[in-house]
Amino acid sequence: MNSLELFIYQKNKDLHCLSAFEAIKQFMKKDRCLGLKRYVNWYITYDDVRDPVDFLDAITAHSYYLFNPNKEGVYVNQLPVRTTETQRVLVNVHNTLLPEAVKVKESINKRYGVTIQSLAKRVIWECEIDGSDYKDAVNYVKDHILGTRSIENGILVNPIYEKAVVLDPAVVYSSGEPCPSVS
Amino acid sequence: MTQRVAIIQFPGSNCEYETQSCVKAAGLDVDIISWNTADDTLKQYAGFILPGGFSFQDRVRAGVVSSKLPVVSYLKKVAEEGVPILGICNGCQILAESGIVPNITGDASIDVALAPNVNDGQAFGFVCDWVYCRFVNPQDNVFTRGFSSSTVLPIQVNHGEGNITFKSTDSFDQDKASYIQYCSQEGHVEDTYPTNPNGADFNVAGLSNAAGNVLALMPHPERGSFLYQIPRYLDHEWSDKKREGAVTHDGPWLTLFQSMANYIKERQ
Repeated sequence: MNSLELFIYQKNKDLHCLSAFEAIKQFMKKDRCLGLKRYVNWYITYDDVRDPVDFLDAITAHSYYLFNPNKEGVYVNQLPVRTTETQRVLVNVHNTLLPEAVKVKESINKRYGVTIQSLAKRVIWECEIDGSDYKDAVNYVKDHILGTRSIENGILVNPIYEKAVVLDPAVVYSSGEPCPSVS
Repeated sequence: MTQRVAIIQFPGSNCEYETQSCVKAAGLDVDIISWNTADDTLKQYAGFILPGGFSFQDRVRAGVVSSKLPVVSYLKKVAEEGVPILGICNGCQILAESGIVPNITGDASIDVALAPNVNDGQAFGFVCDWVYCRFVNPQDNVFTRGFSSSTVLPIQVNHGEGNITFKSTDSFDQDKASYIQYCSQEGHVEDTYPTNPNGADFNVAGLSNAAGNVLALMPHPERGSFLYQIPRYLDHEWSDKKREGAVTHDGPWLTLFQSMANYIKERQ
């Protein structure tokens, strides 16, 4: 069985991001948060002998089930490497009530005659944090930005029905090689 | 203190004018005010209503961006002083995300969430339908105390994220809490669709705060407060009244707004 991970981003303004960042900076006063980016993350396991990019082309060329190429772009398996003096914390958020996108999976399998075994939709937030220490930045995100605990703290995750996992940047970011992308 | 109530209009609210009609019909003065109204202006109001809609387009999660606004911090403060606050649909989501409801422990921690609608463990998206509700301990909330615990009323639901989910189901005392519950038209609590239209824990449709002056309600009482809003096809006494050509103008849910008016008058 093969697997494929897609990171979908908005080519223009991401309104979810804009509002979340506005709330974090202006209303929650979390000044160390310097930027926010959001990716919709599809994790796919499938049975197919084709090259992953060819398989992706086959299931996305004529439908918008996974993303809309008119306004969204996609990175495959990894995100492009970032080199900044600030810290970037990646957080994967998933809905515990909805572990799998069953209907989308069935629709794609039926329409394209492919065998997707599982399809999970998640959201990945990339939080840019002021500071030079990565662990400190992770703690800042966990304490102030992630799980909603009060009006003043937390916005990106509702801990009652969502779970968040901090991702290892060494795994998610490519090591300098260009990431395959489909547009 | 005035008998003036404020309906807070967020970017994306869309039920404020129907709600205004209900508050007026209950005998209160009412203004629709903007989400960025200053505290000095907010002080003149004796009660607040957060109407339904899609504030900030439901970005990130329904209600969460609005819950961070200064006006909600103000509501949190006055809720502790006994000011009546009603959140309908998106307003319910905002009250839950801010911890103003249920506020069981008094520290406004987040004890309840409005998760996506589910049926048999699968999300099914938006629901728009008439359902039935009953009242549990209605005497303990200022908005529901005009109702009886034996009353079953039709009401409209209209949401994609209305699945009231408790942080810990142990923290919810089904016997002592004051809440509104989805039920069959006979008043039976059945935890299956469509009686429970979104998979909510304990079939909860609306929930009081511990003090009883705040109500967060997912269905829309402002769409059942006048008889002309009630559909003719329901198998319920209120539809019977409509089919029989009753001359009354009032609908079943106007009582909720009248209870708010009575409480505001008592506080003066």
